[in-house]
Amino acid sequence: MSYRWTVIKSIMKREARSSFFSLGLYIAATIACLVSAFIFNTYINTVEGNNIMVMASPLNTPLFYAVIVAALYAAISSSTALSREKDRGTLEVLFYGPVDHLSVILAKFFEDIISFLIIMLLVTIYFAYAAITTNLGFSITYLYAIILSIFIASCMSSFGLWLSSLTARIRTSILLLIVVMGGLLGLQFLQNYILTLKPENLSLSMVYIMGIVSNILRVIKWVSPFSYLTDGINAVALGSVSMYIENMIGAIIYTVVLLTATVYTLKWKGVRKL
Amino acid sequence: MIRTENLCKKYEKVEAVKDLSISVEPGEIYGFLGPNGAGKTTTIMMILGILKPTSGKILVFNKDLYSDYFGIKRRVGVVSEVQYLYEDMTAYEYLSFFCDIYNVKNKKEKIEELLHKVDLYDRKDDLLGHYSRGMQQKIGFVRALLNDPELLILDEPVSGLDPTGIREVRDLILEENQRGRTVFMSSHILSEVERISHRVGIMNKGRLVAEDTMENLRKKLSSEVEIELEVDNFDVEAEKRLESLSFVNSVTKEDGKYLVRVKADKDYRGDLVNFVSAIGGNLKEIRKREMSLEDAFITITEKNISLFSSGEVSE
Amino acid sequence: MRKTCCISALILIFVILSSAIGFSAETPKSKEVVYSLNVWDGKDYAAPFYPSAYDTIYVMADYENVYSVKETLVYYWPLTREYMADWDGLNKDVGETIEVLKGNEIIGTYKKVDYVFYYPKGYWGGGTQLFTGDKAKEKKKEYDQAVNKYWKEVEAYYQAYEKYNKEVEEFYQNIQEGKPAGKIPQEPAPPTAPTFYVTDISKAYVFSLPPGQYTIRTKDKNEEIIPGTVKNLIAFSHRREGIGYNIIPESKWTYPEVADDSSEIVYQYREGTLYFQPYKEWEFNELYYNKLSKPQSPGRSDRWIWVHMDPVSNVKLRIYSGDSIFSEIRNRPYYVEQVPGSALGYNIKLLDRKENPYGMADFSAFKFSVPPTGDYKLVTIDSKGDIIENSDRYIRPITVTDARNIFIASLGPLIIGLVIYIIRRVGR
Ligand SMILES: Nc1ncnc2c1ncn2[C@@H]1O[C@H](COP(=O)(O)OP(=O)(O)OP(=O)(O)O)[C@@H](O)[C@H]1O
Ligand SMILES: [Mg+2]
Repeated sequence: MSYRWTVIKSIMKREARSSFFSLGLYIAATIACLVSAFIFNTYINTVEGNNIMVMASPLNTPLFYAVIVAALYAAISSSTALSREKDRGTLEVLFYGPVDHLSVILAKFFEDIISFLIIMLLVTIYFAYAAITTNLGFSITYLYAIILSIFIASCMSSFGLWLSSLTARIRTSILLLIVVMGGLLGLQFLQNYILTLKPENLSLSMVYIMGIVSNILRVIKWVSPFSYLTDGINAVALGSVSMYIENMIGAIIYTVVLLTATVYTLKWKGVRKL
Repeated sequence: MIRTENLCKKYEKVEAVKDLSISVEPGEIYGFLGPNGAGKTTTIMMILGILKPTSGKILVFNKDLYSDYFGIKRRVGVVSEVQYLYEDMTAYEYLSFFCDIYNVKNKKEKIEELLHKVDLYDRKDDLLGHYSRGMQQKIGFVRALLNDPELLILDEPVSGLDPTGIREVRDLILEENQRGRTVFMSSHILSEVERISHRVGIMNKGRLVAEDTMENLRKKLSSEVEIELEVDNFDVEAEKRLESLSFVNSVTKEDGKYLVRVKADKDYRGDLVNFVSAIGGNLKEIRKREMSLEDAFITITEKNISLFSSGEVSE
Repeated sequence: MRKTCCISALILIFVILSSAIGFSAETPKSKEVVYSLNVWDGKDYAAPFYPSAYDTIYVMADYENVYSVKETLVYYWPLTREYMADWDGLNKDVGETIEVLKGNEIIGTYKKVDYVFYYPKGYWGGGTQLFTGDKAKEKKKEYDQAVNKYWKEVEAYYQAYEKYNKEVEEFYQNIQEGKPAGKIPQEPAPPTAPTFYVTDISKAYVFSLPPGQYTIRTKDKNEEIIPGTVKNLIAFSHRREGIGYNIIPESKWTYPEVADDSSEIVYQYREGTLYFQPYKEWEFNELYYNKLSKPQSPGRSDRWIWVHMDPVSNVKLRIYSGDSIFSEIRNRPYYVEQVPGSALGYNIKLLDRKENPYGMADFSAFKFSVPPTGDYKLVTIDSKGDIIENSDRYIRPITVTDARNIFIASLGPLIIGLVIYIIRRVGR
């Protein structure tokens, strides 16, 4: 086990270096900041228009959007992490040496979390700037949200890794990610839409359809990493400690299950270039 | 060092390795010879645990790989057929990464020493993507030597190299062997194996057809060829006359067929056909025994005649 | 592939069926035994009723609540998706005893008692109080007496007025006739009606429970449990007490904001004036509190909400800047003066009793002019000079005037990335 850590650390370091020197991470961070900038701007406009705005933890809303962007980056980068190396044959080369499935997967996973943290660090620096110039101020819930976001990223990343282990080509895995994530996101939006509907405004057949959809969604909730994202957002927004801890434990279980699935899928599919 | 027992690997359609039992002894250079598609790479991948055998047993350092996965893997160096490198890394970064994986002490000295040896020191800060194929091959070699492996597994280590490259690599292999490293090296280039191997195993169509020292193999090869002969209305007289032919060493009868061992200096099948028709026999079938050592050897030789002859010329 | 299709089709049918079962058709009026309650909601008494569709009753702990057990006609009103009772159609009192159980142990047995609601400021005035037993009768008597007294006064008033009319006539006649007129007759003052109100004496079960989960059931004369009366009962209490604020911005005085929780920050656009109205507030579980007054309302059991009670009196507000006291503010009456051509359209002015003794105040509040920079903390100080718990709110002026910098700064990571990328490339 101790030697495995040496291996994990080495691979992780290499991966981290590689993402540190490539633009993807910075582009993701920029998108996260830009999305937040729009929300900061909305705040300024609201206060200017109404002269007053009462809000708890105003940084959390832009932070949530930033987390979504960063977590999507985590999902995208992890969804190609294994397939990219398989596609290029470099995964096989790792296995010539003292590297096994678990160590590669854990290394990729941790590297993804590190990249996520780098993005969140850049975002936080930006937020500090925005909070000081606007005088919005920081609150302790920001820290809670950041901590929870790591768990959300871990769900996204392990989900992406698992998708990645299913494919042997970068293009296939990106396509798979788009289809799966798009589907899951679509369903989540549908769910939110359903929640806003007033049953009394619906025809009876629509009510049936909604019933079906919401039953399907209940199952998907366990599978989709996005549900951990929305639950996490709710936990921080509500300030509910039990939900917060529940979300963390749920995310850990989700991550462990998916990483285990990834190990077995990779063993089953093999590490050789096709 | 390596021992396989009745190793088999079946892909969906192809039986790539059948019943393979080989053994590589400490300190030797073992040439693993076979034509394209013989199953060499498949065997090596199974030894490394990258492919799962369909059946059979593999021992490396007399241990099952999974009894001490990291321990065993740290004592092995591997150069593969095709070099898959991280093309966005410099040579130095790449080697340094593998030093980390193998937990190599004083990695800077180690990397520089080996780069000097393969003449790539000056290019150490170039991206691997900008390297030529041969240079990449050498980097693969350096990578395999970083951890001072006791066992070097080389899959076609000189394919794609120019004659100078081939010689450099060959010298390197010999040097490393003299330092006490065992070398297991696959090739379809006879001359390569012939020149430096202590022992060779020859594979054809997934089966091991011979495993011996080079010398013994050569003796066997030059002595005889087995030909299967199926003839109607052959009497004892005819059999005797067949046995007495000058180029025939022996004749045995196997389920109605004759197994004729003839000298290996030329193809005597024409002479046999002539002989049968001369004594009025009705020839139904004549063919060389499949998967014989000769067969493998000839395929190897035929297929690579151009390759190694050009190598010979320029040397 | 075909197998997957079959399985998904089966799942779909199952889902359709299960969701169809969940949707019963609109029910016609049905005779049911229901609990009809008058529950204290922290400000006043709400009157929910619990038909068979709801199996849990929510009440506030440690307050006396009124429980009636009635037989009535219940129907479902699809437009608002709630159950209604047709009290005019059927309103029959049933049962003899209510039993409250904790687990399997009966912790309270209640009989019907007399009760009245006492409205000290009239029916719409708030501050409703519940009286039971002899006190109820006393209150009712008090009210009846007050009403009787009022009617007598009214009678006396009319008589006095008649007399007055006569006297006035006489007075003018005397003047016309040049006789000595004497004093001008005094017009009698009309009597004032009683300001308070007391309901008629009714009979119901009145009791309070400590916080907890219980089972409630009703028995008839024969000690038999009446079917449909066994329900869960949750008696809940508030989690915290604090001070909530109504905040009136100077520029939009008809659009007040509320700041109920200490975590809520009050942002003000640059400098400006805010008027604070502090309220006593209690924090309740959202689900419980919503269900309390309307059993069909949704709510989250993991969310807590603050409920405003009465305005607090005898307090002052204190503003901190950092650790030092920035200012202390008192409650003052204000009136809104319309200014025709002005940009704001109005001015909010302090109502000075000396200058304007008969002026009407539009509202009274604590005025704080927020400085253009810094951050401030507002607390409420009680009459003893102590800070009231959970009364703190942060107030911050928004200082930025140009959002462009926020957008430009968001490109920071990209610039960092490009620099690193270029350095790496040039290093090659
Ligand atoms: N992934 C695979 N799926 C199916 N068949 C395979 C696979 N890999 C190899 N084979 C088949 O197995 C046989 C042995 O292949 P292998 O690569 O081991 O040969 P080799 O001796 O290394 O040949 P070469 O000299 O060309 O490298 C071939 O017939 C090949 O087609
Ligand atoms: Mg091969």
